[in-house]
Formats: sequence, structure tokens, C-alpha cells
Amino acid sequence: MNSLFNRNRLKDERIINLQNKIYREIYIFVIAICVLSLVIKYVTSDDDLQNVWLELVILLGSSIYYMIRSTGMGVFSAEVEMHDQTNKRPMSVKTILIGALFGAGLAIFLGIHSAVSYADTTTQSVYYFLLTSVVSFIIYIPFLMIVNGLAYWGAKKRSDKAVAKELEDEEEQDEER
Amino acid sequence: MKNIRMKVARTEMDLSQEELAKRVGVSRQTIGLIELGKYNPSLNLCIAICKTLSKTLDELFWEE
Repeated sequence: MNSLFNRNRLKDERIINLQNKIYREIYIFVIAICVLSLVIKYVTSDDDLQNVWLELVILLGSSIYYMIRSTGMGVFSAEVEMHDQTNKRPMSVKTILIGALFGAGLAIFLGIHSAVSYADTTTQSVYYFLLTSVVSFIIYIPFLMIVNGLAYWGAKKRSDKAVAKELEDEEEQDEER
Repeated sequence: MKNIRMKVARTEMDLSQEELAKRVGVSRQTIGLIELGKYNPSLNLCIAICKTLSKTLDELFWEE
């Protein structure tokens, strides 16, 4: 009889874990659909960002939400710690390198786009490609490296603070008692 | 509820939270939260901690 009114009943961890697994799969599925939609819209229609704003909001919004939550809960620090324990290259260096690679990819993409869209002859397309790519390399690589580096530094600082607070709380309460 | 016994077992082996975390293969935050009683570890994690600290599950995690 007591068990009927027992509010501290255990939750079935197996079901919760499986549900979380399904939610994770759904998230990957939604992101894949978004990226696919983004690419199809970009290829088939004029390169107008108004066509793909919803996809960008979903992609950027979910990343920003994860970053805010993981730093607020201190999970980001734990992720960095676990990564650095098992990898030769620290996550901080990797994050900056990813910025550089993304910048290089963007520069090449813009170069190709410029050559395909605006050039009339082969020589002109090579010239446009090199011109746009080199200028984009100079602008985007350092810019994205700095942006990524600053985002990493800010996130780590916020997350470390959250961890310190979480691990201190109990001791402070004990002292007050 | 704080897990004092785990903290004592860890200090007896002269291990910091970070060192224990490394040996077990989790983050320092996880070890800290288990000791503070703020995180409920899975059975696998409990066993890994017990093996590292050379204790039994009863000795570290059973509440009378």
C-alpha cells in the first residue's frame, strides 16, 4: 500500500537511456535534413540567404544552445579534460586549427563560386578563382582562428567557473551548518 | 548524501580527485560530484572506482 503513495520511486534507467539514444538519433537526422535542404536550396535557387534562413537558424541555434547549456553545467570543461587525456593535441589547438581549416574551405568555395558565376573565359575564371581565394584566405583564416580561439577561451572560462561552483556548494553549506 | 567513505579511501591511497579520475577514465568533475553525493554513478563506474581503490562495492557505496 505504501508503495502506491511512494513518490521516491526509482525511474527505469534503461527506458530513459534508450529514449535519450532515440532523441540523439532524431537530432542527427534533423541536422542532416537541414544541411541537405541548405545545399539543395543553394544549388537550385539564386544564392540568396533569405531562402535558407530557417536552416541557418536551426543549425546555428542548436549549436549555440548546446554551448550555453554545456558551459553553464560545466560539461564543456569535462569534455576538454577527457579529450586532452586521450589525445596528443589539446582541444584548444584543435579548435583553432578547425577555424583555420574552415576558413581555407570557405576561401576555396568562394573562389570557385566567383570563377563559376562571373568569369567568361577560362583564363578569367582562373584569375577570379585565385584573386578571390587569396583575398578570402587572408581575411577568413585569421578571422575564424581568432573567433574560434576566443569562443573556446570564453566557453572554457565559463564552464570552469560552473564546475568550481558546483563542487564548492556543498562544502560551503556544511560550513554554514 | 556525501560519500565520505570514497573520499577517505582515495586519500588513503594518496590520490587526488584528478589522479583517481584519470585512472578510472572519467573527468575530475564526475569524481568530485560522486564524493559530494550530487551524482549517482552507474554500476560499471562504481565497480571501476572500487577496483582502482581496492575496495568492495559494500565498503564504498552501501548505505546502512
